Amino acid sequence: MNMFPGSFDSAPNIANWFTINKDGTVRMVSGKVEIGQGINTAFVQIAAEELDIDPDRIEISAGNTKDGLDGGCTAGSQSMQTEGISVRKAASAARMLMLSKASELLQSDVRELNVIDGEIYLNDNSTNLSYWSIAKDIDFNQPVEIYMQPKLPSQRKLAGKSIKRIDLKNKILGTHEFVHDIELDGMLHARVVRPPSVSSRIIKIDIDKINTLKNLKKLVVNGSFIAVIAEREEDAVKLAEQVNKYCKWSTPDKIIEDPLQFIRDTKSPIINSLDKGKIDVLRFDGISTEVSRKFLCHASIGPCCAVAQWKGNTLEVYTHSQAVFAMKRTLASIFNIDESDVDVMHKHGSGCYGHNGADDVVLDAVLVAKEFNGTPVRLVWSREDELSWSPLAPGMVTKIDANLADNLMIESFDISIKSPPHVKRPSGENGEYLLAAEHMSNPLNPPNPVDTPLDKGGAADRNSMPLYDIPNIRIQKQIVYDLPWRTSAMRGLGAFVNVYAIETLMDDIASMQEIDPIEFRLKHLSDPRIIELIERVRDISKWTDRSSGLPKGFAFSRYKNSGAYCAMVVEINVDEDIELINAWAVIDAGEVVNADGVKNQIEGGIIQATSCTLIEEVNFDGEIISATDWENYPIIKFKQTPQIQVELIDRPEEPFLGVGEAAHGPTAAAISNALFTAMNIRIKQLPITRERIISSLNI
Amino acid sequence: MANKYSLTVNGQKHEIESDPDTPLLYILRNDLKLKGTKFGCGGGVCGACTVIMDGLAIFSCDTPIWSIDDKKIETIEGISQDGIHPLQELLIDEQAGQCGYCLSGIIMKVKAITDDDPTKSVDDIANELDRNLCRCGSQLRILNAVKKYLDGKSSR
Repeated sequence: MNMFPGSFDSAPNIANWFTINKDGTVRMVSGKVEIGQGINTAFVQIAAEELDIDPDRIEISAGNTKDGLDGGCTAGSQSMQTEGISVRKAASAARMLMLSKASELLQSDVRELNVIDGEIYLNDNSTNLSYWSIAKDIDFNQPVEIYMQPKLPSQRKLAGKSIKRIDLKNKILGTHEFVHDIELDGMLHARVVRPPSVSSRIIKIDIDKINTLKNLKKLVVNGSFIAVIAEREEDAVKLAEQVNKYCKWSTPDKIIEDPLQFIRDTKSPIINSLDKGKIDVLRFDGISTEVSRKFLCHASIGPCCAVAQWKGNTLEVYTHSQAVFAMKRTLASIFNIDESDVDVMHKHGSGCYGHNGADDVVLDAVLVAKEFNGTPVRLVWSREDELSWSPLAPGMVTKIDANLADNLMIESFDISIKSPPHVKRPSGENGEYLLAAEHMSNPLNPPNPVDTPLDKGGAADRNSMPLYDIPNIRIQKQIVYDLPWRTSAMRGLGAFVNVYAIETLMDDIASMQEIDPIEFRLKHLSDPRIIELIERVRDISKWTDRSSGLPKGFAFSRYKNSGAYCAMVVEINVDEDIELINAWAVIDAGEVVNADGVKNQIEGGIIQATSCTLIEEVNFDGEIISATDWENYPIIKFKQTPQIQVELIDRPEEPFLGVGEAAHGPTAAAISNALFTAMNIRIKQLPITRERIISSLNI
Repeated sequence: MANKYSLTVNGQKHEIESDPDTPLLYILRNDLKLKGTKFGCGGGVCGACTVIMDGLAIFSCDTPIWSIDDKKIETIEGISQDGIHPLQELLIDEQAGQCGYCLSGIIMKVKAITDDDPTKSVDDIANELDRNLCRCGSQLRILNAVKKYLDGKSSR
């Protein structure tokens, strides 16, 4: 295992991470970006802890290829588990280096020194030294590895405290500058003219007529990538619609009637994800489930946006991409320019829950800006672009055959997963998975992405490995590459459906045996950490008193089997629609840095997952994606907000565990299990809509 | 064809030359540089662009400039001109938000509702926020802040 994860490979020295200024401020650089999850705040808190300074002194710079760190993609709930550790080590090294200098100046032993908010004390007496006075005489280009000395858990003071998000106040005041709000001198506005569906290409375009349109600064035509540029934003919006009337697009030749059935019937090669023990395929006499989920939209509230400017052969981009360095490499590769001539700067965007169109809009903006070298161009997607042209979360099918032993314990799980790819992120080398790259006159045809193997966290098969004591488990996956729609990562990847499959099946088996579903799980668990978690949620939700009151359901998972543990109980109301009324979640995220930050992620995860479980689905009319606005892709509304109680089991001695995606699978399964309790029906296809409940009652 | 319009935004009078059908949103953001109001859908469904016109919450993305000549507009920048608005204070206390993109529209909507009728309950407000969407799932925290705001109003 890499001792220094995150950005460390490219940033081994203290100076790569910290600059100590004489005015009493600290500049800190990190390789992970803020996407609404509060990561910058957690990093500032870790650094302030190790440096013994007030967090307000730290200014963090993240996601800037000019002078930033390459921490890879901000995804997979990995930031705390990788970069968080590196920040801690680097900050502790900065402190130790400064104390070494102070001990020289004071002719004392380092162990006699301590720091209070940057002021250095000798045997608890003030000295005339502070970080701010001595930093200028220190060479911070020293390896972190030599100086690092993170505090012991018992020495930490800020850890676990809920300091306020450093960016949220200005977002509430309306003064925070999002990428959408960038204003550069002479900036032009652009919009893309979209084909009717994914495989449509331009056949004819009436350029003469288009050139007579009012306020059109320029029409950009590059193969089937067509865009308009205007001086005013509203003109670009209007022109995109007008121009489309003069475009003739091809119609797709292949129509897929039922995408989920297509996935189910796939002949893609079988990949063995896991073989544990032995599966007796000839002796299946147990219980089986097959669950599926339709495609979903990321559905960010603010459509994707980028600002690009060419200056000769150099390029500058402002973006809300999760991976600015990968974007830099990808752009250099597409435009055949030196990587050193491309700079990509992260600015906060509207929340993203995985790989939405943030990267795609960058290439859109860069292609358009190329037509006006020297002039910045801002390109914002339309609502329709955002919903139907961002990569979708793939529809997916997971089947489990379970055999039971004579003592009614589970003997085997035979798991089969079928899904289009979950990860198609641009990487720079043969991986230009960008929307406009498919439409340009020389379209790029990157190879099909490899689905991440299960031992690296998995993608389609993420969380398909149950944590219950089951002696024989086989997991196989098939990746479906021949559907026309673009799919990529959305919160949880395959975990959402796989946890749904495992956790609903656990209830089905428990019910068959007339055993309490939590009791049944505990019989299959030996890890004391999981047992404590489940018993805690059983207590706080008053699970054992459920003879009266609303129907309850339970579910558990540990995200990726390596991230945060989440055990959940929900209470639903079954009326015309199903409504989530209460949720209790107990979370073990190892050492907690910011307790409120963790709770915020879990609460938000539960609400978003409820929306995905009960409401959301993309439908198709032939190849056309039905989700074009909020009327035909509705999401949860304020009046559907549940009450949520989140409890944390803080383990200061344990490593950080990522929490961003922990709640999704358990929420879906717990809601389904509550419905099963209420009505004895099992809805196997998500979302759980009224229509699906009615039709399952009729059978 | 460009016409002249006069509108008062956050107490300041502006003369604007614009096509009559230009949505107010673009006048606010690009002419007056008030970027706190956001574009979300362009169809008055998500609420990110909500501002207050003569006391009423409106969607600035589908309100043409011709319809607001001589009207008084209040934006997110206006409500904290004399210090942070109590609702904003409570949202900060509750840490009600993740990405924050939807917040200014929600704040303006809640302010319009409660200025008009301070007796509204938090459930009334949740119902009236039907066209204000939040994708990160901050609804619970936002409603908790709103509830405290209503409690504060009734005790005042």
